[in-house]
Amino acid sequence: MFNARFAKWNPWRPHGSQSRRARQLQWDISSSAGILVALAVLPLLFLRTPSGLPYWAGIGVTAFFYAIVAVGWNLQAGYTGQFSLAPMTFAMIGAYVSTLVTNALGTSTLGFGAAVFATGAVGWGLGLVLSRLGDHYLALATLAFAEIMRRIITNEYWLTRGELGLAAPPLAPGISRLEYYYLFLAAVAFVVVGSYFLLRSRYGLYFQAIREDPIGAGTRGVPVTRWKAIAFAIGSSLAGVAGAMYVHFVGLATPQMGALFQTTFIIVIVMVGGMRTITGPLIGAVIITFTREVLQDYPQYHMAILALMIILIMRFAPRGLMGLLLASVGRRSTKIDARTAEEAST
Amino acid sequence: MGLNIDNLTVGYVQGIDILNDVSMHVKPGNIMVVIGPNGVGKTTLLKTIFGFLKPTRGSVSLNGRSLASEPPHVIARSGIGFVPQDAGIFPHLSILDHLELAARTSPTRANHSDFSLVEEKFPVLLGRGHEAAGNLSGGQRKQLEIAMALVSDPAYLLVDEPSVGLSPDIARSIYSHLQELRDQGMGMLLVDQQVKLAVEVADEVTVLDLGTVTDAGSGAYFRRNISEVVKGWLTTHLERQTNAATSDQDDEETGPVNA
Amino acid sequence: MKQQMVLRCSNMTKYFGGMQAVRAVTLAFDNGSVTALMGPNGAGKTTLLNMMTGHLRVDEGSVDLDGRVLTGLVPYKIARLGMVRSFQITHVFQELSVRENLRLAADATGAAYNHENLNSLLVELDLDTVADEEAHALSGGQQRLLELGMCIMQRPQFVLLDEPFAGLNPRMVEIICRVIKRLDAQGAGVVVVSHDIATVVSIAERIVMMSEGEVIADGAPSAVLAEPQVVEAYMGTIDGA
Repeated sequence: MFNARFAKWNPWRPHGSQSRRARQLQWDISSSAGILVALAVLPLLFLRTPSGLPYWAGIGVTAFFYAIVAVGWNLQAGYTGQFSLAPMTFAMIGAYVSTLVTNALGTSTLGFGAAVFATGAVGWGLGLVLSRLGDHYLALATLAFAEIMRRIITNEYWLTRGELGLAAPPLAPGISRLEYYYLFLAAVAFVVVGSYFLLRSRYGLYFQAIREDPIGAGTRGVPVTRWKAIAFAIGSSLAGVAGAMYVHFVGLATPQMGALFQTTFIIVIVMVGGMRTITGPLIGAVIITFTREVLQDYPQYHMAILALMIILIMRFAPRGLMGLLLASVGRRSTKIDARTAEEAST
Repeated sequence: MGLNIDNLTVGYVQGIDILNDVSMHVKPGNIMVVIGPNGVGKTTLLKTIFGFLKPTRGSVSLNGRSLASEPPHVIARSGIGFVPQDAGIFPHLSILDHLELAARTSPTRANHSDFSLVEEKFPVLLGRGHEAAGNLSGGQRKQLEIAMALVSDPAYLLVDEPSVGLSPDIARSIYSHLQELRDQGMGMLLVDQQVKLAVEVADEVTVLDLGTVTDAGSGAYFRRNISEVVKGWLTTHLERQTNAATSDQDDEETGPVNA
Repeated sequence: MKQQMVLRCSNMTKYFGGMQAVRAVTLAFDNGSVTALMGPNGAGKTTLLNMMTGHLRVDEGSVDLDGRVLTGLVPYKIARLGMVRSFQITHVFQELSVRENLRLAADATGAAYNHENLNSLLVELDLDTVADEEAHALSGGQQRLLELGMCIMQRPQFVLLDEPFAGLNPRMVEIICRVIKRLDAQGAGVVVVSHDIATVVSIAERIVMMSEGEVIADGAPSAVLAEPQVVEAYMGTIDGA
């Protein structure tokens, strides 16, 4: 039984009667698995120079934070065609909710729960409204939402201390940066594996259908509006959870988290890494965070390089780096099948 | 001499042919009318002749010269004009504006102040030259659309459904304008759903059914027999059905080869 | 096993601007029968179809299936209640494989199926050799057949087909006719909008003829096609003196 289930997942299984999409999904999740293992092992490089570890672990945590938000945005914009400009707004909401609840009640678990609930509920409500809107109006509506939320948080000083921000306690007393690193890595792994199973299921087909042809999808029985809203809600609660976790690492919740500037990072991450891929948001987050770190003394070059990346990607690899990899994988497999079939017949 | 369409096969999607092996010949000073029991292929035919679509097989030639794969502006330059069903009248522009627009975009570099042909055919239009086109009636709008095509002085005119949306009398007046142009030597290919009306002005008729030519003949013949022709479109398949049934019975008596 | 079900349209009316495209059309269709909906261009056939399947708002009138009101419902609900359709321009998911397209149609509608059903359907539609190819690699005709297959996977009570034969080669027309006859034999009601008189006559027991938004004839093909008002409609609505 285990063999049969493993065979379905195993990318090296002979491909015979599988769709290109299914094969690509398997290569995708395998790549993610490989990268996650590499990231788990990476801290070992610091055995010789342990002093650098806390700093780079922190960079890693930031990358993982972005990765989780990016997976959520990929589900909205990549898989169901909803180009939201508010992913970091939901991260910010998650951060504040978790901080407020944790400060009030003392446990961060309830803080997380509240963050997930709040961002999921708002995401669902907003998603229902947005699902009736076309592309451009949707983007504008989410932009408006982002601005409104940022202002509310800035102005409601009595609750949020405005620009000064709210102090957030660490996730656990005395927790080290390395422990944060592995905690966030585990969260990323969980989210990545979860999205694999979601996309592999019939609901993954629903999303694909909705993105490609909403009229056709509805005609074949897919409740388009409902699933767009679900995708939007999942995306926003992922951002919310990421924000809730990150705020306890950083120690301070500020309205800066929800700035449009931050959202552009997420968009670049997903587009460069690979829209509509599982690994894309992960490698995109690692690359972009690393680039920002390396260029931190030259912020103007940083933005220019991001812009250049986007232009190159849109021109040469519209589905991002991962998309480029997956496209060639799918095609090669077909040729192998043809050759095997020829050999078999001789 | 003339506009020749030979074995034209055209489709929008691979594997689906809208027109199949269509041939017809439009002589100068002659009106060729294309009718049929359904909408299939008539607009596609005109679009293909005018170069908006590329045929997968077959050809279009003018006076012996092939027009295959040429873009629309080249085809226009060779003397073919096109009056589409909805020629894009701009309600806020004046009649003269439209004519100037047609002249400026005309590949034959027509003189944009000399509208003598238009003046001759549609004097009323020019009389109201500065009025906004949005104020025109349906019939006048169709006149304007034809006038715009005439600006480049074409030898042949392709007209898509001239009578659509017009009352019988107005449609007839449009048709008599077209007949006048024909009398002056212009060749015309008209497609129309209004079978009875179109056949009234036809010199030659081609019947297009589901993208293939199923009948052709002189205008006079079709005028005499139009009821029978249309009845035939509808009932010939019924006869075929009955014939098929009886021939099946014959097969059974001799014994089928394939079970 | 075959229950009697009726798909009913009452007083269906649609305005486009000042123009009435469909005028108070009332029709009833039984399951287990094949009806052709015909008429010259602009008669309102596709408009009526779109209103029935929820793709176009109904200005006046109602649609019901076996007493259940369908008017105003969104397409996915109507599909799940048993009425499905195909389109003149096929709506097939290009980036999904043939098999994925078929499975999606069944899963989303909530229709049951198993491996054997799916495979025998693929054979019937002559798509078994391309079952795992992405739909965009199929020819136009194969995509039409795939869309028909998706309708079948939805296990409908009624199937409305909009110009399924247009432009197809005879072999594919033959396959579609066979499928329609099988659906009919299994108790589904089929309504086919088509200009193809020859093919319609070979599969339909009934022709509903429309012209200018109204039903001008309704009955057996041999009767309808010979009726004078039908001949008049095909001659053009402008009558000479």
